[in-house]
Amino acid sequence: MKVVRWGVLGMVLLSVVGVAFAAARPFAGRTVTLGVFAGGTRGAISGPFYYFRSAWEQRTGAKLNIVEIPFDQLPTKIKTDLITRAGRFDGFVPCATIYGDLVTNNWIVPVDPWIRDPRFPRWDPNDMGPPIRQLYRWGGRQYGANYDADAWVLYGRRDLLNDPKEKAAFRAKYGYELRLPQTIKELLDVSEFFNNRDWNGDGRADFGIVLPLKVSAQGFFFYLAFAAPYVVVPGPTVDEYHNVFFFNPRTMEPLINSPGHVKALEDYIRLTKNGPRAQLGWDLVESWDPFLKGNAALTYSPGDIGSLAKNPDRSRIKGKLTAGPMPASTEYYDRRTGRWVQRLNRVGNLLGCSWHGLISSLSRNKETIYHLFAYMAERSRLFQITTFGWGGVDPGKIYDFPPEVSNGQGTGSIQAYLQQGFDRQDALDWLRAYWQNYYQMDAWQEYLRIPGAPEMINSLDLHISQALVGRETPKQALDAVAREWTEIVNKLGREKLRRAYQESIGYGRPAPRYRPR
Amino acid sequence: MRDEGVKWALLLPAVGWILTFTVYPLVFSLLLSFQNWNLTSPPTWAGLANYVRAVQDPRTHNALRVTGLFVGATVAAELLLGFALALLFHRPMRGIRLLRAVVVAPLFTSPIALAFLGMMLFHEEDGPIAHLVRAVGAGKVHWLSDPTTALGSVVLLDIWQWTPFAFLVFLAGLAGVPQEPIEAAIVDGAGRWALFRHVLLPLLTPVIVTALLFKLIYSVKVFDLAFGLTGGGPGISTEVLALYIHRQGLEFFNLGYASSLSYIFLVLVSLTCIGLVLRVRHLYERL
Amino acid sequence: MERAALGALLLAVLIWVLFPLYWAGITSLKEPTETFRPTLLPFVQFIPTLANWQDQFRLAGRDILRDLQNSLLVAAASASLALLLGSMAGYALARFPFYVGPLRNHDIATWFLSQVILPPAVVVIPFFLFMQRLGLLDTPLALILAHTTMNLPLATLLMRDTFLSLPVELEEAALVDGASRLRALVHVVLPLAAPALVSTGILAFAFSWNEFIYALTLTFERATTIPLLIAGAKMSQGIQFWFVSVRVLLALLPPVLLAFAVQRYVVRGLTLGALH
Repeated sequence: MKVVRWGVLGMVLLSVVGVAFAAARPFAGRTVTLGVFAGGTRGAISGPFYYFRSAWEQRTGAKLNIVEIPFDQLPTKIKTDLITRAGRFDGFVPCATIYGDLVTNNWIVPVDPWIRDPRFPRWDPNDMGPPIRQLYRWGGRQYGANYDADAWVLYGRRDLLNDPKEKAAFRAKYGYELRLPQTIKELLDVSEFFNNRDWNGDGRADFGIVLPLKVSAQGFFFYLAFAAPYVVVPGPTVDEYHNVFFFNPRTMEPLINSPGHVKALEDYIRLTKNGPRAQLGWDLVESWDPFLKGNAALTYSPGDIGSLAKNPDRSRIKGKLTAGPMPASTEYYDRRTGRWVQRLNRVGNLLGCSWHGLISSLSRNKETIYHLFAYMAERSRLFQITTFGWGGVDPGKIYDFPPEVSNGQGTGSIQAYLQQGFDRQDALDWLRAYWQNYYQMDAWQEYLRIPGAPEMINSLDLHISQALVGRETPKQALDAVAREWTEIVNKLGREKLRRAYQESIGYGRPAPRYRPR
Repeated sequence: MRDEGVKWALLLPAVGWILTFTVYPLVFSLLLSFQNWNLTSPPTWAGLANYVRAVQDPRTHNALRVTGLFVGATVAAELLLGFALALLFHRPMRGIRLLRAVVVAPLFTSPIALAFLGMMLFHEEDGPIAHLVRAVGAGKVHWLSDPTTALGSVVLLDIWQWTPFAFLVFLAGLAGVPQEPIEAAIVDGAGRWALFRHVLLPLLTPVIVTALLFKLIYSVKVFDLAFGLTGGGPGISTEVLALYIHRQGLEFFNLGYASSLSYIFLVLVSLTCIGLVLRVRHLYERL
Repeated sequence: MERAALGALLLAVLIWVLFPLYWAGITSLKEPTETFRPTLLPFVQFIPTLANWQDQFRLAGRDILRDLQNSLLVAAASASLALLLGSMAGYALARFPFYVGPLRNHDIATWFLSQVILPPAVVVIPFFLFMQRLGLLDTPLALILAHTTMNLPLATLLMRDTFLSLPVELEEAALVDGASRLRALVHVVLPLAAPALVSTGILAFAFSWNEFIYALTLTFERATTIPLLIAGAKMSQGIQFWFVSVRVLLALLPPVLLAFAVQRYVVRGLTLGALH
């Protein structure tokens, strides 16, 4: 009798342990393949996946296979995998520009059913800043778990902008106080003021502003960041005239050659002349290096500069960095009235790729790969990745921001950044710039992610470059872009694209955080 | 009689291979050029629309112009330079063996690697060439930021890589020139120029035509250098035809349109080369 | 005087040829912040470091090894295949008269030559679709097929040329002695053609090793080759030249070293046997 009792007890115990063990390693024996933007094992976007790979494999019992893909091949490789139904990838981390292709072809699956499922790590979509949250969604469905929040912000040299001699000279020349530019006019003046003279004493002329303007790289983002406040008209809802930048969402007529854009491109060309001509052939690294080495006064870029500045291998400006949101324009073009409105317009951007994992509909391990994305999206882990600096994940979640840079709203702490080697003031300025971009603007530029977006962006990229080298006038260049975009719209189907565009921008819904003025 | 079977058994695998992997794709591509297809939805018949579009597309015009400029500049520069160097070094001297050994290196350099190397060499602010130009007191050269110069930079990389080809070909050509007509001309009192123009040049014509043909063929195919060094920019100033076809076909998946561009490319290349092929044909009649 | 001028010119040409390779070499041995400094001499002007090499292999070692392996496999297999088929066809064209309608041997040879004119960009799209249908995308086999096609005219014409230059009497003697065609080919002709076979094989190997456009189109993850490792250096933060130099050297060295071995053969190879 006793033997039986103990036997039964033993078996019950064993099975409990077994179930617990299985629950702890729910995906044992599965292998998932992730296609991710190439940054190496210790670089942007791909790096954190390597960093947490073994911990995740331990926890789930699954294996993670990481495939790195370079930027200019990323859309092609992912689309090739899906079009040919090779199904090589269970999930991928693409640039948000190809969202439209992915969603409208049913190539990715929404994650809504799993978000509250207790089998998976917990994360909250509402931690993301309101405008960026939209980039993880399409047509009312959530497709991605929290990861990167990309945006372009303005960087400057704090020491230089505070230098009393420079301040006096600037006041004498322009009649107002030198500071990190807050308007486009200031941006043009300050970059001109510091360009083409040796202000760091190394015997060679330094630059006002450095930008990466090479074609077939990420140069087009830089025009978009600059042009946003000329074009986007703030308003309470996303509609035909308000909160749109690329297309008229009612007609799918391109706005890219509207008066706001043409003026923006004219001013943009002036701005690029306040830096080295060489930058017309530069990719990101080549433009960051002169700024990090102390040969340029200003640049604007994604978050990498903020974290590279602390790195002694690459930077000589630790402790000398300041940052702010992209400058506001002093006027914008209102298409409804056909008039220029003379008013300060502060428009935030969501530029970059806002990298995050998406689940391939061809995957046979959808829950496993979702577990990985949810695991990376857990608050403590994602915050840690953001503070690394090298992870390529820009601050954008409410818990990334210490209260002192966010009117007390953020729940983060500056300590975590300091432990990773950030200079205190550098980090505070950098974080404040991001917080303002996501939480304090009059409006936000929408993100172009409809089907055909990569081809549209290539057209824009080339014609902007043609205008920068003087082969086309700004008007000619943008008219050509509008013509090519219209062809693409007609080719892919106007009705289909209009629906996709409206879904992707939240057409007809209230604009995020609109505050009447 | 047994040989009759053997000879076909030896020849046909190679012929069959080429028919399968070249002619079949070409036929397929021709059919595709009359359709619209992006792989995600079924193909639709387009008639001549893709060709009409190609004729009207300013980017096609540009790509043709850029490719033409690239081919013209590289072929002319490399043949002239190679010829001049061959004339100068066609003599017994120390170091010539070393020279011949070293100049094969560029010919076997991976073009995509060369293009990435070029990004460093042509870096306008801090590259080695910029340092050199600054050291001799000249101003900045806009190697990659000026549309005209950028194409020049791509051409320069090709010149670095391929001048050795012309050099070695002409060196071999000069070595094979019979001495009697030259000696006879010298006895007749011909000047150096007359000797060159009326004796040497005619003797070398087959070699020149061969070098021209093969360099033309290699130049027309240019893709890697532009793809890697400039990405086709600034603007579209270095977007060669192969690069544009690749973009349309395998980046935007406009397969029909890319195929029509391919065909236009093929016809133009064939027309350019066919005359030269017929001229070197006799070299294959030997024996 | 003239000799001195020529000597100077020789030196200039050598520097012109070697400098880019040297620059890649020293950049791979410099600290990242030193990358664009105008320093040329290790130990004298800068302290060389192997850190870039170590970091590259530590960070991307798996990719590098995979790509090296694929490149070796694809180049060796496609060169061998092209050599096999090309020698057969070359021998047939050199030794037997062909009459195909009005076409004679040299017309067939010219047809092989005309295949070289075809720019890869023209056939790469149908090739891609072809390989997709066969389920061969992203396999070394797809690249082997493409590169064999690319090298087959070269191998055929060079080997035809080689067999033409071998005295036909030796084979005839063997045939008279009662050997079969095949025996005569293997025991008499091939040993004599061995140097040409090796050289042609090396050329085909090098062309396959350097080939980019097919590799870019037909492979994306498992079957990528060394040229794609270079293109893959366009990372999230742009191009890190200290790492690119390492990759450039890895791509350059094997074919360049092989080329030295066959330098006497280069003219013949690049003109497909039209010139010696």
